[in-house]
Amino acid sequence: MVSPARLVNSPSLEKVPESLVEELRQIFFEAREEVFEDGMDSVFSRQLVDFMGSHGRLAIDILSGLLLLEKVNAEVAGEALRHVGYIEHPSTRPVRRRLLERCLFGSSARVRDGAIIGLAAMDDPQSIPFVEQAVERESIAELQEDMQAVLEQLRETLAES
Amino acid sequence: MPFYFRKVRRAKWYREEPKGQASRDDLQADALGDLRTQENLLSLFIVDDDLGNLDRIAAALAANSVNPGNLDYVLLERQAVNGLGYTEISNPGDTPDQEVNNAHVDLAIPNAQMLVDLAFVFWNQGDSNRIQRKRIQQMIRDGIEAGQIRHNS
Repeated sequence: MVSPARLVNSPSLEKVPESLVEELRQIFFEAREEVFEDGMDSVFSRQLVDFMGSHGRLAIDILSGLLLLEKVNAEVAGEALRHVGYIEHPSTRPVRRRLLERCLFGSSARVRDGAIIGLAAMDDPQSIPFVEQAVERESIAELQEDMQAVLEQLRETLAES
Repeated sequence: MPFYFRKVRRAKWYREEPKGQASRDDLQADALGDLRTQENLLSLFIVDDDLGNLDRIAAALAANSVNPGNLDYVLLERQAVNGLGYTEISNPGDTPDQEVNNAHVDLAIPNAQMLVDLAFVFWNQGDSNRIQRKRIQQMIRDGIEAGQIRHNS
């Protein structure tokens, strides 16, 4: 379960156009039966990327609301987080990174895994403190290992900069 | 002893217990989604005893992707399926690396129950791992430069 402290700091969905929230909810809903494969586009990923491209910061706010309040299927959420990290959209980079950092502490391992994959793609050393904390807290050995690998990558990137 | 290599999504293959000690009840149902068969055949690659061709197989599979990200896989000692009723069939693979294609086999899966049994063997006795996206992309570049991976520009 999401801790109360995180819910207090979660974005509200009340101040965004309801039609856009519904549009994104529908994209997630339709993706539940899709089979995702690493490295391959999917109907969901294309729709999500289009949505983020069309609505920029607002899209990330809506996505944050759905993900942080854990209102969507965890598998699809994990897939979304990968693409939050993959997309090239400079103006939303800081808020996308922040979303991924927060999802490192989600209740679902699929979400945490999607978040660390997204952060690896962004390769931003500013995430180091969050990944360090996530490594410390992670109870699943394999996922902790994957987080540790990303932490080392981020440290290398910092050292090279 | 060589290994079987299968590309998976690692989050479906987490295992709390040490290798060989897990309970069937704890295998995630979603893991079966990573063992999709075609015409009752499961596609696998053979990794050498010394794991010498592991990176090359991973790079070739990633190069087959539209947008290479991290590559998750599970490795299982080939002998783990000996005597369990699976038949191995030599069939060339379909990656941009011809040598990797020669390391491809199909495992005949006679029925659904045997697929579930095989999933348990992979999960309980295999090892899952991840090659990070940054490294995979470098491996693909190296493979193209070395003439191992056929590059379609």
